[in-house]
Amino acid sequence: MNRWKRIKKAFLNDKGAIVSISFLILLAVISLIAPILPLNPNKTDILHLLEAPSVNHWFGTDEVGRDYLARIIYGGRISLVVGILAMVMSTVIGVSVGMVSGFFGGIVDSVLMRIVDVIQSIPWLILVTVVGIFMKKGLLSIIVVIGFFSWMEIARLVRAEVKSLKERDYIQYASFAGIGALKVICRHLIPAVMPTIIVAASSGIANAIMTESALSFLGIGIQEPLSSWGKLLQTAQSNLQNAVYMAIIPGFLIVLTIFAFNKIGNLLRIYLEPRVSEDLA
Amino acid sequence: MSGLTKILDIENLNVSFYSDSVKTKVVKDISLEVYDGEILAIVGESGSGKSVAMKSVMDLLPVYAKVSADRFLFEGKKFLEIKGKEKRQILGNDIAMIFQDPMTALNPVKKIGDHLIENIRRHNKMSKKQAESLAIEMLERVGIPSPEKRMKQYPHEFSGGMRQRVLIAMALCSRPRLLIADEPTTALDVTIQAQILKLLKNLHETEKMNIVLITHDLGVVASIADRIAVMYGGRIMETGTKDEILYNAQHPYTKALLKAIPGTENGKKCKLEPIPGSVPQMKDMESGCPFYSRCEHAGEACLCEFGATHDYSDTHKSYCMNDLKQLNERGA
Amino acid sequence: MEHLIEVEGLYKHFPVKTFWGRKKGAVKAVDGVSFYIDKGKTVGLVGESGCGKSTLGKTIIRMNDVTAGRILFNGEDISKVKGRKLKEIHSKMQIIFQDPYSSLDPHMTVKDIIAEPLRVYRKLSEAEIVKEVSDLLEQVGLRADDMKKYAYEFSGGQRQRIGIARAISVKPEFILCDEPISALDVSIQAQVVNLLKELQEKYKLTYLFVAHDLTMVHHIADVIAVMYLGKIVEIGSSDDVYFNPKHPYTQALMKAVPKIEKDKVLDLNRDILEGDLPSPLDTQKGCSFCGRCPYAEEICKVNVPELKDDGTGHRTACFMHKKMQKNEIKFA
Repeated sequence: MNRWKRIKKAFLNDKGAIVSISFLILLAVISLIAPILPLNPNKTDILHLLEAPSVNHWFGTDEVGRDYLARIIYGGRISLVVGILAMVMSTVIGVSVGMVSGFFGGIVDSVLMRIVDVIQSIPWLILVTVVGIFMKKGLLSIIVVIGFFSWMEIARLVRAEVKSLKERDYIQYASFAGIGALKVICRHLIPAVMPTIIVAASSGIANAIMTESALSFLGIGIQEPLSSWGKLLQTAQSNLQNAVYMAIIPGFLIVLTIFAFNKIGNLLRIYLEPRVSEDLA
Repeated sequence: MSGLTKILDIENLNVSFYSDSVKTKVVKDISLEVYDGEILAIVGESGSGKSVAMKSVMDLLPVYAKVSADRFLFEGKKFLEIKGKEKRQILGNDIAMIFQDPMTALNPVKKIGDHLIENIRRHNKMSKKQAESLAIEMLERVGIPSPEKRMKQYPHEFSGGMRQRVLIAMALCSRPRLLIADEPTTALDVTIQAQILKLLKNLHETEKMNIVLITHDLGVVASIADRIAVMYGGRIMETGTKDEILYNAQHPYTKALLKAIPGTENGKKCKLEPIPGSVPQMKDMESGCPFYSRCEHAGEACLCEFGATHDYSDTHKSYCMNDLKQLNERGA
Repeated sequence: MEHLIEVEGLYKHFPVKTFWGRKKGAVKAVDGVSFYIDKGKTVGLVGESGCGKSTLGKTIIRMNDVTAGRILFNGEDISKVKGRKLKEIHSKMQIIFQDPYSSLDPHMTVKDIIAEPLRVYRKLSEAEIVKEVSDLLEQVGLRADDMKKYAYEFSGGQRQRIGIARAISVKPEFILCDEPISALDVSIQAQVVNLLKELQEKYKLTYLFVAHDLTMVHHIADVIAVMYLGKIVEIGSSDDVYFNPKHPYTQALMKAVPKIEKDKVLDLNRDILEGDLPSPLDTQKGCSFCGRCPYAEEICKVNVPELKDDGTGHRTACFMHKKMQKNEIKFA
């Protein structure tokens, strides 16, 4: 389709986008093949504590002598998994709420939107912290907590778009022709709000990674022996004086990953807008 | 006509749009002149280049547009070579333009009065008080009832017709020599359209303002224009006085266009004869006649070359590769 | 002649609420309309924007709920039907929209667009659908292999043809044409009108043709109804209303249409109706047109005129009409 060609061209013309995509692909590949790499993130080596990067340990070792490269790779796996699953969860909730709210309107809309208002009015960090304390600690609860408290923005975006789409003649015609609400939503509305969803999702991953890092940094996120980039950053705190690389590497990777997802999201937002007609190009 | 002064004199104007290093010619070799004291109508369908041609006069084209012409004179000045302050001076004071959708030209959170006062003070050195009374006078002149009250209202409190009047009042502030009206009545209802046309005609007569009217509606042209240029696919197909074009059209496109409009003959409906096909895309036609694919008389020559000139009178010219005289005699 | 549709005292009001959700008033988009449409005929509904003509059409085909009144379709009251029954009614009453851009889903292929109502109303296999769609495309003057394309690959006129194919796919008896040509180029309008006429003959379709362009409506319609502020002010056979309008509003409307014929060109010094359409929110006593009417007298400001038949089926809602006929009042 024409639109995808345009997007491809736009991406290839943008150096930032090429870097972002290559970086993310690299990250994904490494995360996937990590188990077959000759790396063990949990093997301690008390003879080599806090060693600076060298040929044997590319990223050095940590305070109990574990290979930091392995820690980073396995931490990255966790960060990405949290980011992606939390994003999927928040997108699913957000799109469903926004769709129902915008499509049916009236009382349903009022109730749902007030709920969104309430959740959004509480500072998320407090909310997540409180819930995080009460829930069983673990990877799953982190994902659920992050996912459950970050869908409101998507819901609002989708609702606003659906509300304006509903006024389009083709949506009105579909209802007129006796097509059920569910079918109208699946066939007409979802494809139309897809650009919004994709953009929200790509920045959703970035946000989830950031949230997880913040939580882990505060000590209420990922627990030992698992680690994530945020968790690594937290551990690095106590060794800042003699091992700066332990903070710099995960910090740099977090920034780069978030930048990459946001960059791609932004480009998609510009080029995914549907074309109404050939000559409007 | 040749004895009259030319306000605007354009020869072989070309406008091209560049996007993704692809060049699309949107206006091709058009020559136009606006004589002092006349209303010239440029008639064409969407995509005919009529708006683009006139926006090149106003310097309103996007940055990726390139304008060139063999001659481009406004009141004797070489217009394309004038730049910067001098150009702004001319565009602000001597030429004004009004558009199809007046709402886009008005700031929705600014009172109508402030729009006018600001505009007046940009062109004339006067106090706010003076400007205000002049603004009220302007609104009165364009037929807005109770102008004092209206000055304090916002654009959304005005109807479409009233907004168009406000825009005309704003254009009048600098007493322009030339007003370019780009489909000023297309978005309006017929009764309101007639009011605006009447207003334009009155201003043309009382203020000695020359008007270029861009429209797709031949009926509008019939009621207000002196001379007509018919455009299609970026080219001028035929020019002439109103009577020459509407009642003695020679070019196959003009004739087809006139037949596609419902009319009555001796109190009876006559059959509509649509032009087959659809308006071609600009990128699909480089050389040759843009009407080629829809013209019933099109021949080999039309594909490669555009328009031999046929002169019928001092004012009436059409551009067609066919031997129009023979063609029209056969048809008649 | 059998009436396909009979509308009796139809009202459609849209409530206007205050910020606190309390009802403040109502926009009386359709305010007591009665008329009928004969089988196989076309009724043209004209009026200025905001007069309620589109709302009336959409209420008749039950795209809107009815505030009050009856709609008889084949003698059966459909003003309150719901659910499955309404769905069944909608397969017999279809609609063609004004805007060829917003009426087709940009994410769907032409095949899916046209097949959308087909899949609801007729249980067909995929192969049958392909056959049906290619047949429909050919009927509206497109090619069968166009079905794989997306709507944005077509021009406005072609998109309108796709919309027409979708409307006729379920073999309706009645089609609401909601300004189907207003957004099209002049040379394309005639194509679409001729196509609609062709299909009407072929399938014995009945049309309600909503438009603001009187000449086009006169061309296509058998009966013309003129609406002003939610009410029909004049209705009669197409030629009667067009050549011999009786209501002062229709007369003004008719005069304001810019025409090309030499003896009928719009005269900007005479044929102008002053004033604007009042807001439908303002409730006023008496005839809704009396504020702009050059003939209005005391009675017009107090009482609401009813539609009165002149004996030939040409009905007008005006108190002054008799006086006007006796030439007691001179036409402008």
